[in-house]
Amino acid sequence: MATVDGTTAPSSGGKTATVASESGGGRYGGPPPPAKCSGANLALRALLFAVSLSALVVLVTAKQTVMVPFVIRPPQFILAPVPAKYTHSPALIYLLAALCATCFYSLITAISSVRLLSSSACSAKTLFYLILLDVFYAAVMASATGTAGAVAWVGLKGNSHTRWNKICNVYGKFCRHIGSSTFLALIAAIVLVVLAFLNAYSLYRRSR
Amino acid sequence: MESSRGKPGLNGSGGGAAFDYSSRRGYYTSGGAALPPLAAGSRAPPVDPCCVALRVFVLLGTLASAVVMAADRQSTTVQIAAGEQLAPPLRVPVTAKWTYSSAFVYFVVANAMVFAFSAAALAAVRRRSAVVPVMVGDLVAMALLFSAVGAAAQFGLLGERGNAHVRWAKVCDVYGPFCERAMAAVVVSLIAAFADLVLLMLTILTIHKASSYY
Repeated sequence: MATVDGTTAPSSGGKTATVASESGGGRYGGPPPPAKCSGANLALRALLFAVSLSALVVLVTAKQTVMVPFVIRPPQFILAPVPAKYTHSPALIYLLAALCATCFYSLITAISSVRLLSSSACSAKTLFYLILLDVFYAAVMASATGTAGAVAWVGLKGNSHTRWNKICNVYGKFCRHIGSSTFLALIAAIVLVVLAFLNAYSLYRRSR
Repeated sequence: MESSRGKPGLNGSGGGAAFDYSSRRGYYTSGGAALPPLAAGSRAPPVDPCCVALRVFVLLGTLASAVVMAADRQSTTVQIAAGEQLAPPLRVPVTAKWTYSSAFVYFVVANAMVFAFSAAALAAVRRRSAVVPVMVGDLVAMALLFSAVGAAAQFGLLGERGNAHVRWAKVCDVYGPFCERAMAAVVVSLIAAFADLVLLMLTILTIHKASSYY
């Protein structure tokens, strides 16, 4: 240990090196003290759980039935009820599956980070697995948001080139539900990205 | 340069001790490891060839998808039966372009942005100060790429199958080659997105291995 300090002293200034060897002797002598997992981890995971749960609930309750006129012969028409549910689009089913997975994942990791906070030691291995899973779920939520967003956009604006009519002027409540669910899923994806970055940065800081 | 490196709370003297720590790491891992022998000034991080290869693959994949989607265009004629009076049906020329769909426009823009970021990250691979910005950018780029792939894939699926509940007719029976090219671009971009995910995981593994707790 002393030889390493001695040989590197000239390049960094002898005074600071000797101060380091005197005051930081314990640092070189034994394992570094364990660092705590930050409370921001737990807060963000609780937020993620809340957001994904509310997006899930809003998506599942998106149901609306509207009376639409069907023309039989030109002057005569009948009104028939036409329902709109989230099961009518594969994109929304995919969003539902992704939200379920993220909700379950955020619940489990929120509980485990409560345990980590109380045990006052955050092992790097746990942090590493959490980051990997966070990155994976961020990818899943981002793709679900993009998919549901595309369907919601076409439903909102229609597409004149493919002759797809917009439906949000007819189904107002349904469109509001789908829109809020997609927006909440976007927030969940952003929270996952922020979580992954925070944990990766704290892992990076331990290696400096 | 050295003063910016320091563990919070562990290191009372700042810059000098940080430099000692880096040389101690070189001292311990100099036996056959990937770290080059640390001289007084050279601090280039070891370049992992696997990460570079993955990044080049992401670069090429996003470039290919953006180009194929942006060059996607088809003009065809559609027969419209105008009624019983006119004997020959009307032939109307119709065009399909990628700009006709917001999802495809978002797909091309997102692929172009990830391509630009990957090029910048490849150029900055040797600089130590660029590790954190590249990681942040990689995270955002991966999320952007996945969402763009989802949006374009969903639009393509709507075009291929339509949606009976909202009376959206499928269009891919008319625009066959257009749909095929668009979906090929989406598949290539999806593979590039998965490569980006693996690259991000490898980067985090590298950081974890360099950590003092490994």
